[in-house]
Parts: sequence; C-alpha cells; structure tokens
Amino acid sequence: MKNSVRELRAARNWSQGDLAEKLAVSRQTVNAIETEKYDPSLPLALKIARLFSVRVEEIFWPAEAKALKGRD
Amino acid sequence: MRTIKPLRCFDTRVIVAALGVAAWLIASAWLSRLFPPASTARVLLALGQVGAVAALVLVIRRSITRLDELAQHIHYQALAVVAAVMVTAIAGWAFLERAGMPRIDWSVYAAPAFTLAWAVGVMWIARRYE
Repeated sequence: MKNSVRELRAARNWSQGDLAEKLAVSRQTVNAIETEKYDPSLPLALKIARLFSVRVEEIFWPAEAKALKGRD
Repeated sequence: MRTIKPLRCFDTRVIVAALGVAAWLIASAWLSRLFPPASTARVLLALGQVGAVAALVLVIRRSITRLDELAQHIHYQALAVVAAVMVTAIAGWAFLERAGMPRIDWSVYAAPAFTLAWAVGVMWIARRYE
C-alpha cells in the first residue's frame, strides 16, 4: 500500500513525533507507515484521514494505482 | 509520544504471574508424587497445572493488547512463526525419539522454549520496522 502521510505531515511542519502524539501511537509506527513497511489498521487509517481532513483513499491507495487526489 | 517497545508486554504483572505459575507447577509436580499414578488427586493436580498455564496465556494476551498497534502486529507475527517452529520441533523430535534419540519431556521444556523463541522472534521481526 502506498500513502502520502509523509507529504501531509511535512506540509504541516510536524515531526514524526508530533504526528505520533496526535495519533497516540509510537514514532516508529508513524515511521513504518511513512516508509510503507506497515499498513495501518482501518481505525488508525481513519484517524489519520480525520486528522488531515481528507478521505482515506486520498492518503492510502494500492501500489498499482494512483491516489484519488486530483482525479476528482 | 510513545516509543515502541515490543518487549514491554513482559511487564511486572506478566513476570509475577509467570513466577507464580512456575512455583505452582513445581509444587504441584512435587505434590503429585505423593499420590499413586492415575489417582483422582494426581488428575486434579494436573488439571490445576493446565489451568495455571492457561491463565498465564490470558495474562500475557491482555498485556499484548495494551501495546501500540505496530507492537501488537509484531507480536502476532512472532507468535505465528514460533508456533509453527514449535510444532515442527516437537513433532520432529518425536520422530527422532522413535529413531533412538533421548526422550524430551515437553511438559517441562515447551513453555520455556516457546517463551525464549517468542522473545527472539519479537526482537527479530521488530528490526524490519526500524
């Protein structure tokens, strides 16, 4: 699964630690999501989407597809 | 911010529970020698040992559910790998016993071997996410 968590976080000038704190997870979890080593659970994905005020499918998308961002 | 520490599930509560279970297993094994084989007392003591191990599993499971999402994922992956390895080892050793190798009492060694392999598995799998 691909994602744009790093870009969304950087746009807000948040560190991985800041984002981890807002999501109540470890910094390593945020890092593993950003580096696409770990796909978050649906509740965590929804929490991330809510935090960035975007839809889940705008942040996460299958590796073979492109993000919905900008398509609609 | 929370720092991921997958081995945090082996907290004080789990260690105390594990020591309590170990003490009960030793005491009940010693007690059971006082009764004849297949007696009701021996069977009850054996059931008590099963119950103690099951209770320890529940305590550990509760401890894991308190961990960070990724840490839980690491634990479940490690448990799956270790379960497969243990089944292979126990079944494999049974074949070797029939071929003349010394007998291993898995009721004594299975739990410590499983716990050790699990801890190593957690540390190994956690490296993937660093």
